[in-house]
Amino acid sequence: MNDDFDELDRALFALPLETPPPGMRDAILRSTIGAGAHAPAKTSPFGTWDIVGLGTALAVCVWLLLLLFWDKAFDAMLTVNAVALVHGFVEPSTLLWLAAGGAVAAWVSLGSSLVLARNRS
Amino acid sequence: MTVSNPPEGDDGALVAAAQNGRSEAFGILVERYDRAVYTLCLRTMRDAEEARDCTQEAFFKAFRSLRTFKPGAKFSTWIFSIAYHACCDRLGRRKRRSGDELPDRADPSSGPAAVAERNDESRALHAAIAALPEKYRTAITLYHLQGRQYEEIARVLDLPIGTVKTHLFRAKELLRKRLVNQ
Repeated sequence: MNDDFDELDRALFALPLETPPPGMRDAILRSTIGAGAHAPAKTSPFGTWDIVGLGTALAVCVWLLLLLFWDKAFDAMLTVNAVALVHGFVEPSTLLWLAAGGAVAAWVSLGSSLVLARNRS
Repeated sequence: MTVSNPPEGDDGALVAAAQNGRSEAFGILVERYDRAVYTLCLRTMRDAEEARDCTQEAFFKAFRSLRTFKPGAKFSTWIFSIAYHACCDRLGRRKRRSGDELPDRADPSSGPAAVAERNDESRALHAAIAALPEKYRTAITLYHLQGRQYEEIARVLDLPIGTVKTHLFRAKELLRKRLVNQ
């Protein structure tokens, strides 16, 4: 394939650009920077699914609040559940498991901090 | 409409300024590229009215999606690509409207005013380019606009570089033949 720069290339590169019809540039500028309504689309920090998830969570919260304030039966059920939850927490075995979990978490995070500090020094 | 106090800088800096809300920077880019984009659209569409519409559409789309412009990319390649796709959409619609065969339109660059502006050599070359098949015509126009940057041409046309080189080779062969026969 001949890829040399020849007479034809020279003629091609010497071709003048076409002259746009009068008013084209003005029309472009008006439809872009001249119109505030057409400002570049701003990107949201949230994705579509984030917004759907947040909206759903918000709707559920509102629904629960409405139930809490207006539904006496729900109010009673919630009280019963809260009492059961508190009872569950004060069981000795639950407290033992919570203490063991907390100790392990503290040991892991403190241990890794010490290793990092030693590596830095 | 005129653009006042144009900021200095290359295309990348202007795009960054436009992205940060300095709309006059986009005005500079319009001034820099509207003729080249119009040339691409006119050579692709071979219709002055449609070329004007495609050019406007390309800049409007570019402005609306400025935030999607990747840092480090070339603005010329990006705007040519948007314009080329706008032309393809219109060519597709034109094709569907008028059946399978696209009518060969008159060369808009051969009007009396345009002809008077050109010398014999460039007039003959214009006519020869206008007579090329669409894919070669667009490739040779981008070659004229972007120079020998095959990778950029390939990006605009969404084609492998090898195909672009083949199109350019064939386009030049056809141009040479037509120019010799004239």
